[in-house]
Amino acid sequence: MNNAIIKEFDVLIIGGGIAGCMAGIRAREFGVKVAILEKCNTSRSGGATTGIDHCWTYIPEIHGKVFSIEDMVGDHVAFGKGMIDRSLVKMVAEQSFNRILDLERFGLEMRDEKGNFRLIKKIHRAPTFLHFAGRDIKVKLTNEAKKRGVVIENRMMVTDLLTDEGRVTGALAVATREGRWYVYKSKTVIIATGGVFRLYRNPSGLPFNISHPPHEPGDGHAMAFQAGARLLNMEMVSYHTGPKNFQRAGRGSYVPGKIRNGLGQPLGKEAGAVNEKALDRSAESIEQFRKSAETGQGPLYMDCTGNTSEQNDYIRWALYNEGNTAFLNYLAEEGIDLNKDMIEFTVYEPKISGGQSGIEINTRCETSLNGLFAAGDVIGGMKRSVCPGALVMGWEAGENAARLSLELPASELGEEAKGMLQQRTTMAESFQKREIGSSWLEAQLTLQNIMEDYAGKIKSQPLLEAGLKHLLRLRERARAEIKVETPHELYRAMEVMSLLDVGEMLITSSLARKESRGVEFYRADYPATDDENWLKFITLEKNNGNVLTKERPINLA
Amino acid sequence: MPPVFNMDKCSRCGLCERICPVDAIFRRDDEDGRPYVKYPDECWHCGSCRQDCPEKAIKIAFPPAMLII
Repeated sequence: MNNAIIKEFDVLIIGGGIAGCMAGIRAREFGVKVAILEKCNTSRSGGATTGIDHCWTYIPEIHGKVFSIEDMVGDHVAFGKGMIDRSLVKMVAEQSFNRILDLERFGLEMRDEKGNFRLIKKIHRAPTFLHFAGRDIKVKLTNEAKKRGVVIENRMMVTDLLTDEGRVTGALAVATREGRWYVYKSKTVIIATGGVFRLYRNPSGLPFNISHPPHEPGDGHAMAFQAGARLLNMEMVSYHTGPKNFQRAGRGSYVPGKIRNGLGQPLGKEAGAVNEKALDRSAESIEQFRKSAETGQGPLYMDCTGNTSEQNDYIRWALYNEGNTAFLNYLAEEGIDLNKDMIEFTVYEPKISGGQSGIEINTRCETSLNGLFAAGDVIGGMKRSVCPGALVMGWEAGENAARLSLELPASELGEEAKGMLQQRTTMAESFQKREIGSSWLEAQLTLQNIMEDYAGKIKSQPLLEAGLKHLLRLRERARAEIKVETPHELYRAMEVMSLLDVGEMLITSSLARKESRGVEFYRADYPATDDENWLKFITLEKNNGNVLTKERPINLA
Repeated sequence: MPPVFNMDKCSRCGLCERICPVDAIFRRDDEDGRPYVKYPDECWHCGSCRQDCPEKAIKIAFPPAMLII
């Protein structure tokens, strides 16, 4: 098949973040051949690239005295305003502590010096957010995976799933340094590629100054879409607040403090008191930021000066483990001290993350395509699945894919697969051979302009329809005009093609939801939340070249 | 220029080049093999290189657009 190198596995995992590594580790326990294909390097990749400090969980011996798993599920569903598949929340809640114990076995310090768990109260009625020293979680998971015989191929970008009559048979990938194509045959595939970032322009203007991984431009969402798998809630986005213009890796952590506006007035529910939820990404706090800027009170600042030194030391420990090392480095170099200085905050651009919008799965992490599983932030239907979601779903997907692979014959590459290889390599060659063309970055910026102007904070039918037309035209032009000089640029160009697919899905799904719902989704032509008609998921899938959206009832039981 | 390499401290181990999540760090194609930032505009400022460099040979130069105070 052209000059592609062909390799064969039983379980092929696309994406080596927390979910992908857990999947690999678990799958190997069944003795099957497992590979993780990672675009970067699993030691430093994914949502926990430079670390993670928090993971919500249900610890039976502690929480059992206070509330039940059902209570936790109920709280989580309420947090998601009902737009959540509760069976997924239950699965994650039930299994999360087992995975925490696994992390301990893998060499991570999950407890404090006294052997206690640090638990913080956030979205559930009891303190369930476990804080831990997770700065090197990816290094440890990588070592564990290698120790167990998982084959890790770094600098390998998967561009397409290979299918044969509704079942996955493997994946097509390009090595990002060599520029060479690889065909991976596999009985089962797990997509664990994370969320979608770079779809909207970040406020600072620097293309990669974003709070979440820039290496997650929706490749997994796009490949599932192209292969005909079903996705959920692709119209929902999420927002984040953080230090203005300083978006880089590592995100919010437990940062008690006050939010003050430019007039020195404290904001928030408990203005004047140390507000533990000051950095909550709730609709209320996002709105506070917007109002402050628009009504002459802005900017808004994170004020930790009223905290005790101990609290601020804890914040620094948390930020360090959450991967905000660059931020701490910057503070140290500039002589900025949380005890004395306020930090200006802002709302970051929209994104898709945390398991809210993505590939539809059941509690076995199976997707709508035979042999295809998904785990972690790439899934849809479970808002704020985040770290526990990645740990649990990764494990479940790894186990279920391994078990399935024991029952299946070897994958064969049929005509469909050959066609896919032909299509993708022809596209790549056209980018490489073009003498005069435009850059992948120009295409990305144009897409971001379209998303901002037509699928931004305030949506409506005419805007969305105009946006979709522009996007489809942009895709045609990108295919016909992009020119790449290096393998690096080639993989960036393929990422832009992924972003275009996600943009198309977002706009198409947005047209289907005729209501508004929190900060995640607002339509000027349907400004009210309509639970009676719209407390449903919007599903999306490609069928014979057409993009179909449907409504899926939410199981309230 | 995001990562700034101190070539006196750099042992040419190649770790920074291997782990950079945005594929921005490459090594010179000569006997020395020193690292350099080939795609500075794509730096995520994650600090992985600085954090993991065994010789502590890397500093991050934050661009003007990232000033917060």
